[in-house]
Amino acid sequence: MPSRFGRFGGAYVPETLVPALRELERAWGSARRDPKFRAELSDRLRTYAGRPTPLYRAPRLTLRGKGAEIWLKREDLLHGGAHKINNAIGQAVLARRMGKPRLIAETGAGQHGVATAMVGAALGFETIVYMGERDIARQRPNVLRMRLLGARVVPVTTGSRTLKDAINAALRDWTENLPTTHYLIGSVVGPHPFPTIVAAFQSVIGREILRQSRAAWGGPPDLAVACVGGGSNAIGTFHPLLGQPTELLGIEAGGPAGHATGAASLTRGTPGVLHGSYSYLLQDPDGQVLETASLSAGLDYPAVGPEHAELKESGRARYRAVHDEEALRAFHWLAEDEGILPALESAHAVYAAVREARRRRGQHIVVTLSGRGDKDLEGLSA
Amino acid sequence: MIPLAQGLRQARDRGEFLVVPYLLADRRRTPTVRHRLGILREAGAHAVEVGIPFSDPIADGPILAEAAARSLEHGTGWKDVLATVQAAATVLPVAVMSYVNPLLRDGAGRPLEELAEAGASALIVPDLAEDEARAWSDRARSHRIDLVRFLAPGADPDRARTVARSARGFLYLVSRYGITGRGGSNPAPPLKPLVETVRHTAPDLPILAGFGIRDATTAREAARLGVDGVIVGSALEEIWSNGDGDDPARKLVRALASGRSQSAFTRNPTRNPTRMPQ
Ligand SMILES: Cc1ncc(COP(=O)(O)O)c(C=O)c1O
Repeated sequence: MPSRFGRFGGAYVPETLVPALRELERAWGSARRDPKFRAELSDRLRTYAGRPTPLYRAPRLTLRGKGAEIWLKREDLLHGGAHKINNAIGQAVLARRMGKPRLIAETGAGQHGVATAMVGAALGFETIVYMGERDIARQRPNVLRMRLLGARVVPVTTGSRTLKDAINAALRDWTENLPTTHYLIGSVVGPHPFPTIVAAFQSVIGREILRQSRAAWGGPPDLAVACVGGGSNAIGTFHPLLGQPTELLGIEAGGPAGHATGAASLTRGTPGVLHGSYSYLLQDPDGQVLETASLSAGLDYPAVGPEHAELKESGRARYRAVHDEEALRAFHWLAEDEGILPALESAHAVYAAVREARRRRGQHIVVTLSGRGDKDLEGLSA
Repeated sequence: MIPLAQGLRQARDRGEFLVVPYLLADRRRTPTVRHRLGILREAGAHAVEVGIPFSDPIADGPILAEAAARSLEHGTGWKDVLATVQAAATVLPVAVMSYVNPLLRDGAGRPLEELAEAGASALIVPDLAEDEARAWSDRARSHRIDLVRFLAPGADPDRARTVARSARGFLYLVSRYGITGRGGSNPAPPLKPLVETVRHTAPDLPILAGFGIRDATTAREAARLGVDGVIVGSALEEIWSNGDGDDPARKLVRALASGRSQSAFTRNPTRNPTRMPQ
């Protein structure tokens, strides 16, 4: 199994983690070819998560865009309210196969933590979720949900107290508890084989888009748009479309208007190593990782999955940053035009899609609506 | 200063139990580096591991992670790192400890060259497992720097042989599942067979145990595995960051240096080093 995407990726980890990463690679290598594993996965995705999700033509948002037809891939309708469940189910079934009774996860917006807590309960794991103190404060409803689902939420008080530091904490826990624990990482980040495994589990999004778009208008989308934090809903959207003539557009968090970096590692960063892989990174000249800023906790991460770095350099996908105020505007557009409250993460992609629509009359744009906005309401009404 | 590899082998062949303390580069401490290390050398330290602070030290427990965060808050930059290495190298042979990312600045050539010029003769990179380490090892070698390799619990004999063959300077034995200064409750599989495999493969290579070494007892446990010495980080950092002064630091190093003499295990110190790297 290749450990790199072009020059990006790899496994920059302490030697202690190597046996666990190899075990995971072996388990995945055998599971993906095992009809029983695949059958269980697709059954759980259908009966527990709620797949397939609809591809919805958004007529009033399309009017606002004044150009291309805008379609929404409704991952927000999944159990738990985000695409994260696709990956959580897959990895949890894999962890059970490896005989690990304990799951750990990091979470930013809390969506991946909720997804892990749900599958942890449903499959009978002990579940621990690391979450930065700042994110705990801004995504409170999800903290409560995780606790009700039986997970232990451990506040992370180091560094920027956001997603990056939660990953640090999870990696440390994993290093201490390898024999009993699977690290259920929430995005296409981290050392090999995580980016490959998570991409495989999320690719169900793009496979459905392709099937549904062929049924709806007889071809693939002209443009697919997804928000990029670590990059899992975007990779899941893009993967099955790589061989199609579809343009791919990833949207990063630009942070407050005028902010130097926001959390836009691909558009404003440089190559470096964080959390075990070589990718794009927001860093200072000494290689210290910068603190990021974004309204949306799920995009507030200074690095990005290595496959996106490769897609950027090869030119197969383009990446842009959308800033906080723009994302907020798109949040209200979608609420008022279509009666859908998107997650703030997804609202970044919606904004870009509406802007792209104008010069694309006659085309079909698919936006992956990675999650719903319930978790963000408190911050919005405040 | 003699190269670290040579210094360690000579001391080991004299029958001494090796002690390598860890000192994190911190701008505020640069003026006291010589003094601190002078004390440790007299107490029995054989070399020093100078740490480059990093914003995201995933292999470090709370004590060293917080020390790194403080150091960065103090404004420690690359120049301060070089100044620390330079000062340290006047007292003891120096291994630099850095995560990968700070070594990538300006392309990977320059930082290694500058560290070598400052007096470093070995490099320890905690997030470079063997598979990614090869390319770095060659790069380091061209600057006369030995890239140290790690061996960790759960490795199979094949892995131990591979690591032993490629290790330079010394082999860093991670003595438990865990991070610096803090371990989980999962007992590690027996390490002694791994140490024996390394001995068999690379008889002359010094082996140092690290992670969780904090007193005479933990040093003795390490000595019983058959290693040549220990690395101490968190326990020493705790003394320094508490401002406890020279005495506790001196006592700690002495206690560690006595690790072998108090243990039942002794190695034959008379050996003929035939496989001298470099
Ligand atoms: C709704 C939603 N969208 C997107 C993301 C970003 O993650 P990724 O880029 O991996 O899809 C998150 C992460 O928390 C999220 O909750």
